[in-house]
Amino acid sequence: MPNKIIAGFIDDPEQFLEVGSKAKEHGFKDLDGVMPYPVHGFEEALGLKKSWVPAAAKTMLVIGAGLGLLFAGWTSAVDWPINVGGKPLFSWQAFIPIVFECGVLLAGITTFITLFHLGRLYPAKDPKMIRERLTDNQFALVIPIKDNGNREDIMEFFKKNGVDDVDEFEI
Amino acid sequence: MHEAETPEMKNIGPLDNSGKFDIMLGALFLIGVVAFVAGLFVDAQRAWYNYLIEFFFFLCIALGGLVFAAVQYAASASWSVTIRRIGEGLFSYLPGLAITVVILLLGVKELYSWAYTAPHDYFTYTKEVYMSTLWFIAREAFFFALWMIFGFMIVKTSLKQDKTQDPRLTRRNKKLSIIFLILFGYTFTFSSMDLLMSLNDHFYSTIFGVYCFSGLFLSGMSAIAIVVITLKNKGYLKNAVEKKHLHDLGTWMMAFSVFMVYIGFSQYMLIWYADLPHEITYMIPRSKNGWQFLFALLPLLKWILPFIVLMPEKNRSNPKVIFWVAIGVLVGQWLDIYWMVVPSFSESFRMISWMEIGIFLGFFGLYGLVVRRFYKRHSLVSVGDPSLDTCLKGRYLHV
Repeated sequence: MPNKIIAGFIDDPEQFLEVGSKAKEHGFKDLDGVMPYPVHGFEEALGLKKSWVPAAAKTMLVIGAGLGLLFAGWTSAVDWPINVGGKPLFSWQAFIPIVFECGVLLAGITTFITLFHLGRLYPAKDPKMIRERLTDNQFALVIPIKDNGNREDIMEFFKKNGVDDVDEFEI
Repeated sequence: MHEAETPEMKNIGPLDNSGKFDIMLGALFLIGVVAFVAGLFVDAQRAWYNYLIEFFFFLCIALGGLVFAAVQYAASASWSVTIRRIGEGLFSYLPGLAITVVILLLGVKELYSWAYTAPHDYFTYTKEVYMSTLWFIAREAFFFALWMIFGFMIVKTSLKQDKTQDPRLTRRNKKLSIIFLILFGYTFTFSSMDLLMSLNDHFYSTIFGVYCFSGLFLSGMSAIAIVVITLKNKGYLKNAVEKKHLHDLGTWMMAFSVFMVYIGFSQYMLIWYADLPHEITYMIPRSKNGWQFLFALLPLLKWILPFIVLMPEKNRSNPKVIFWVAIGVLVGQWLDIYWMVVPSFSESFRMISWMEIGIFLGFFGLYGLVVRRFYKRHSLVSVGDPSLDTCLKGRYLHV
């Protein structure tokens, strides 16, 4: 289903934050922003929910570390016990690097996949660029048009806050 | 261009000249002197190693403040402009350091076994030249003189900038800081080897200096956080140190707690794995007879506590949380030095007694007195720094 959005283009990051927080106060839902680089305080200004990437990474970190411990313990103490320098077969000290690496590996891969899933990025995706300057030095505040058609309201809001460069898109 | 206004700083010191605290700190200092002298009569060795523990603990905090400031200068960091002076203030302990190091050198014969026993085996023979009392004293004198000269020059340049607002002074401090940091890396490694590692005359480990450095940096950051938050609670540093600055300080603390456990575990695992006689003699006494519980407590206090508690973003900018985490880290740092020092003197676990507490209070009193004297004389924020505006506006966050 095509979604209709209205984007207001802003040149200054501080003005971008200011207009964004005003849009939140005004009561617009499902706000979004397009930025060439991360702007601090953007999530708070727009009232965006925290993403679940950290939670996914933490969960997979614990699972990965646990699997690593299980694997290292099983290979060196159960399946093929080898005496190394008279140390106990199950020596947690020696397993720590493996456990750490397994945890980091799984958490890293999970972060990567989750991020691309959330950003709806996948191979052969046709990227829709609403304006080239957004990758360079311009910011866009994106407000979706709801079914009840609040187009006038949004346009008026942008005008009131000094954003002249406004355009409508279908994505 | 849309310009935000610069927040106006209020109450940026100097500190009130209220004598109440000074009297209290002076009383603590006297308690320490009494405890140390009494300790010398009761159990001289114990008094001396306690002196060493406290000396090293406060040395780490003082140097930690200076290294923090030097790192900020070297990297031209703008987020920390308002915090940097606090770190410079922590190093104003200079005169106290000079006095205490001279007293420490009197105790060399009590503390270090290489100083009172003749070489008797391979390891002690090979170290005979390096571990002689006179050479030891010469080295320590050189290291401390070097740190004091650089610390004095950096702080003096910074204070001069308060008056002249000369941006060239920042460049000068940057150069000084870079030279200092390089020299510090070498000198602190050797100094920590001399002061702590040589307590066990068989032991040598090349990672020991880095381990001590990680403790130094972590405790320096914690001390800065405690001072900043205490000052803020007293109404100082208004608009100068805000949530965003505390957030960055908390992030650094978390990052360096990981560095600390990384170095600590690397040292432990390699010694455990290789099982070489000259290394394992350090670990064995420290992991039995009750010392193992203290050993297990160290990563809990110095890594798990800051790492888990400071992980959520809202905790990292909460002054109360940072304050208590910093206290926990400092307790961990003190126990770490206790754990490094005391097993060389006592096989069985030793509880903390009046001597430990007394001498700690003495050093705390001395340290507090000297550092308060600095904050009472100088502004708490380096008001002449060219990037102060960037720092106050938090513009370093956006660009």
